[in-house]
Amino acid sequence: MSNILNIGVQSLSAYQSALEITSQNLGNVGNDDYSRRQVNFIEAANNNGVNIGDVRRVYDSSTNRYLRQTTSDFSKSDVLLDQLVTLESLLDDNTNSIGTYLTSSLTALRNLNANAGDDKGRSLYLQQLGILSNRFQAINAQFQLSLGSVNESMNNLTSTINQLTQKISELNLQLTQADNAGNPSLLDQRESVLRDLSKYLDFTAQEDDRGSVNVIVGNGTLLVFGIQSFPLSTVASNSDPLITDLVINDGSNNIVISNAITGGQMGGLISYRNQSLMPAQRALDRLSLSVMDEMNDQNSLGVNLYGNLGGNIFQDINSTSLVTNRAISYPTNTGSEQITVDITDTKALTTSDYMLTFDTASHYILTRKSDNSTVSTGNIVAIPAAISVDGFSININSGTIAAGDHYTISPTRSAANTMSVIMSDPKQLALAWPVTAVSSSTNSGAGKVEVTSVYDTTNPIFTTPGQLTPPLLIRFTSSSSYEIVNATTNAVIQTAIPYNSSTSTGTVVFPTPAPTSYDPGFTVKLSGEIMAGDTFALNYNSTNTADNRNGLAMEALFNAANVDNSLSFSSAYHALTIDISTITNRAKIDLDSSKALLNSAKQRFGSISGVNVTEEMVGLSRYQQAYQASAQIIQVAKALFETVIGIARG
Amino acid sequence: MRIATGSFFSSQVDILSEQYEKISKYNTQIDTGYKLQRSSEDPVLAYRIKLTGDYINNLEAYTQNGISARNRNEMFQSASTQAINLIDNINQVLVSSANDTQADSTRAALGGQIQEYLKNLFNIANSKDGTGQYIYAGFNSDVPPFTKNNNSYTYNGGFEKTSINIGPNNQVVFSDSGYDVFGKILQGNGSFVVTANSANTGSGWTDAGVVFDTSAYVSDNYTISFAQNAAGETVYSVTGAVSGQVVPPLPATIPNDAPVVTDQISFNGISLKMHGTPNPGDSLTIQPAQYESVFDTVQQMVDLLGTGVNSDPAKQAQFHQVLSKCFASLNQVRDHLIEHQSVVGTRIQTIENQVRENSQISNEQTRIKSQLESADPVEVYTQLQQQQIALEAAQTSYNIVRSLMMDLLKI
Repeated sequence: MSNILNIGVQSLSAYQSALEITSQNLGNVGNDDYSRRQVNFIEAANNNGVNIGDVRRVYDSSTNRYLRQTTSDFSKSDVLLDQLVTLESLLDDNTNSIGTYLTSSLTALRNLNANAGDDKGRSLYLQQLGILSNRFQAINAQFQLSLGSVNESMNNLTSTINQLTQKISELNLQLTQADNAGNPSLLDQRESVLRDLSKYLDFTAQEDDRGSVNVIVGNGTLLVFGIQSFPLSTVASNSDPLITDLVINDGSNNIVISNAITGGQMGGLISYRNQSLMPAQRALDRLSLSVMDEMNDQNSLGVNLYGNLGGNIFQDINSTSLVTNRAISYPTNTGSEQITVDITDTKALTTSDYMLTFDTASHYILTRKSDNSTVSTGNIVAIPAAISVDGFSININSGTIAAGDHYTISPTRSAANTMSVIMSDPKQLALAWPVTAVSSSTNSGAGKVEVTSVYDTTNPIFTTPGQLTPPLLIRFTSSSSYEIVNATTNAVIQTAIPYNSSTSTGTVVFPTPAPTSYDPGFTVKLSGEIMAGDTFALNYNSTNTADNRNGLAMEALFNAANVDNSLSFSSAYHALTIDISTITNRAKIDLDSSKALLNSAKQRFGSISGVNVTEEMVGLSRYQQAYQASAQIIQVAKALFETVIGIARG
Repeated sequence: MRIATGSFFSSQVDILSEQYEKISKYNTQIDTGYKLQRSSEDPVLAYRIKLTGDYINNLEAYTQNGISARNRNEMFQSASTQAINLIDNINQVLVSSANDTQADSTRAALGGQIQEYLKNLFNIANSKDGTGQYIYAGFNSDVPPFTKNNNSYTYNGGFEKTSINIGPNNQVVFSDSGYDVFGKILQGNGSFVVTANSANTGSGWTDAGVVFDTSAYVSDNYTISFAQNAAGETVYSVTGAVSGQVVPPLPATIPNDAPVVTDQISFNGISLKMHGTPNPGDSLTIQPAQYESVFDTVQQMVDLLGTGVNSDPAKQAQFHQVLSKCFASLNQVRDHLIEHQSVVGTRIQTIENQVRENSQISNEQTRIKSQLESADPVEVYTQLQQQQIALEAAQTSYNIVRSLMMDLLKI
């Protein structure tokens, strides 16, 4: 009989506990990190009543892992898209973009060519180029700001991450203490911190047999090991001081783990910086190099209104500071070598940085970072030495190389940042060509002569300013043969060069046929019927107000394949912006799909660990009834006692 | 499947916010009229739009040059038309001066008229455009191409023309060389010039002559000498500086084997018509034509008409010899200017075609660009309406679920 009472009391307390657990579940319905508790009843061994077998924290570790992973993917996409949208709106502006100013520069130049001597038209064109440079600088400044904010965000994130990893190590400590082992509330807390951490980076969490969770990033670098956490920190990268690297100190060394982080906000920032911002920066720099170099080169092929050969419109792309900045020496280097980088052909430049490694004191390996291919390797026999690839030349000028020295070679570095028009006098624009070709007025033939191109004003013929050294004369000895004569001394440079008047395209005079192959740095075309005794004089062009031949060549630069040997200036700019837009487009899709995956992971987590109010309400009323029933049992037992006691009295 | 209450609500919220996002997207499309607000919405389409825009901008950058080129060449055209008119006027004056009955004073007055025409002609060649650039100066557009000094004319302009771009791969001449137009015209009949010896005493003179057989023509300095043969007739002989004795051909001797003067003298593809009577001892020279400027040619006429002939047959013969050269030269000038005029006419045609083509292509590309980038209002409104219906359905379902939940809690 006392057994009945025992059963009643025991089940009463069992159901009371069950009601408590259910209330706890209901209370935590709004807590996303809460894993619901499930009550299991077992038959009590002593009296066959009911007992709480265990209160189980309902969870599935693979579901939790999946939730962490999708959280980290989602956070990454979210941050990435956020950054990209800002970058895109900076570049993708149809009214205030570099493309706009390229067009207005071209328009100004084209109008100028109809009035090449006009100072106003000339300064208008220079002003347009100035505005263009300002735009390059402004966009570059935005890139720099963006890079700065990425570096700063990375720094901020590390402190958040460090707090979280420390918290995990603390919870590990608590959970390894005997009293707390398996404590559902602590486990929930730890799970919650882990999930928090997954917002910031991607990692693997492994539970060891003592109940601790170890947090591992990348290929086995530990952030949390048992009760110990290893703080992250940010340092300026060895390969590029402008870039922040993520490092972890294992007690003695800084291990760089930037490349191991591919998820979470940190992964998003690194991916944005490495895949979008830096390539866009280098593409912008390359474009500015192309614009400056092509326009400077073309201007140097002409003569200005003062009758002198043209100088630079933009600053020299191989200025001392630029060539020095392009080679970034690692802080770990021990050699004394002095390295500079000259741009030799802007058309061939890529948008990649390069890694120059001296594996021995006399042997180098040059790797292109964009595709990780070795573009050059060889021995340095003597210093000075030069390594030429991809439109630039690495000059090892002096000093001694030490084995193990590294350099980042960044040919495009600082170009957009320093882009500026240095020509202040519009008369300095060299719109004319330095050579005139004139038929003699006594010619009896109908031959025509024309300068068709000027390609090298460093040729010795241009050594003395304001004249050709020597001026040349093309003299026909018969209607089918001519000679080139030094017009000053009458010395024959080359004779008996055949001429054929019937070719419709005319005859190109320079370089003259082998073996003399006389080449004055420009080409001249003869056409039409020419008679013996006819002469054509080639002289320096010093009076040239309306001469726009070089101006027309400048115009052609705007549509020529000047960037990457395939793109015009403006299409190169479009390519740059569309690359960002395409990445943004992909990031948006990634965000949508990672959001869908995160939602499904949350659903899965919810379906296993989440609280369902309906279910709990049903449980609540069930346990309430069971509780009442148990109370009734006690009532019955009590009644039985009283009956028995009554009999005994009775 | 078991659904946690929390995730149930959050997924409802997600569905709603997604619907709002779509509605806001269509709203922006209606507001801006553009399909894409950002290139990332459709990078491929956005790139096409950008390239099309570039193409249009590039064409539009030719617009100003098209206008400049047309204006400039219309200036050339009107200049050459005026010049031709002046040449015709000069020709008329020359014709009236040819009559031997004209008094020296009348001729001098006619010369004065030609002098005026010459001034006009000179001004035309030194025309400036609205920006002060000389149009016939080649490269040297800031200095007057022709200058006059003591009745002789010098060309100071450039010998090369400048061109400008008026369309893709289409350049037209913008600054002509005045030397080509006014400065470099062959004298006389274009092949040779006949000059009388200033010591001639007879009344004989020739026309400017023609090359009647170009294959037989030998360019040389010839002297036609008149002599008397044994029969007392006036005969002529021709000797070339290079060709040697041409008429009569060797081994014939002068004067007795030489032909008697008639009104026609022909040799080596050259034919001259003889007027008047040359005296023995008179001579004419034939020289290959040289280039000469229009102004020098016309100045000679002024000088010629200013020189009196005094009713002297010998002087009249001299006068006619020069006058015949002047007529021929003037004809050369006229032909040359007409050729220039027709070249300019063709240029204007080319410019107009190019300008028309530019605007046609630009309009067509603008239409294509607009098709690519503009949102279709009908389509957007339809989608917006559909989206509204979907949103309302989602809201209703949310309300139903929420009220069920509330009902449950009331139990």
